[in-house]
Amino acid sequence: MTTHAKFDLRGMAEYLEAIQQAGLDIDAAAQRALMKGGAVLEAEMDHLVPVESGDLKKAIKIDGPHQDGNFSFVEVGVVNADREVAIYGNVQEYGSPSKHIKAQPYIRPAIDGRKAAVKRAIRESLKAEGFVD
Amino acid sequence: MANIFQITSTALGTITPAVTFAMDDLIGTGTLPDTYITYFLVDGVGVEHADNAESARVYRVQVNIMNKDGLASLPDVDTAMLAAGFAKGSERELQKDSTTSHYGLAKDYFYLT
Repeated sequence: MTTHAKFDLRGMAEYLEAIQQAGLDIDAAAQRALMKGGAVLEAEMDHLVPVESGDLKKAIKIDGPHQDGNFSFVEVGVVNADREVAIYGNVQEYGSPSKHIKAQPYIRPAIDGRKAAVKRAIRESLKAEGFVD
Repeated sequence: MANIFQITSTALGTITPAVTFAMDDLIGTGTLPDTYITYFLVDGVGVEHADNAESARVYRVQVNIMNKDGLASLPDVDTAMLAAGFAKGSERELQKDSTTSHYGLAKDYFYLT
């Protein structure tokens, strides 16, 4: 069970192709843009996560950017955490009904609530590098 | 207009055969039933705005189906929720409870108002 979000630039293929044809370094720019989008999600998860020892909050990170061929992505959330923190993170996100532990979701509300802001951050990053809408 | 909690509760109340359900937590003095359901609101997000006012909102509700006999045969929550106007989201297995021996399946549903 994962406790993180993964996002990429699928759906923008035509636009990215046009940019590439213009001779701009799209891979590097796309990865910087993804990091900007990831930072928006990370900040919201940090804001929402319940804090007891603080270990779960510390485990919320941006992992990436990664590239697989033409496919760039980042992962945001509880990434590469140790087993104890990962289990605790899952219980906080989804709850444990039989143990009467109420969920305190911090991943899904961040994704649902900040989706538009993530897209905006990605778009602004690309625009700042000279790409046009 | 009914709120999201009433809508969810009404939907779960239509499951046949009836199954015990509660919001957030099933608190009782006795042992937990072999099969039961809990639900809670994950979030509600405004998705459309017009004239400086919100015109549409999407609620995400998590429904947990708990069962001592595993997850192969569970109450038909999907039919009840879809009939009430929800759309299906992701689902995931919860860690088996070593004390009560309940298995758990958490299902997300979305409701647009």
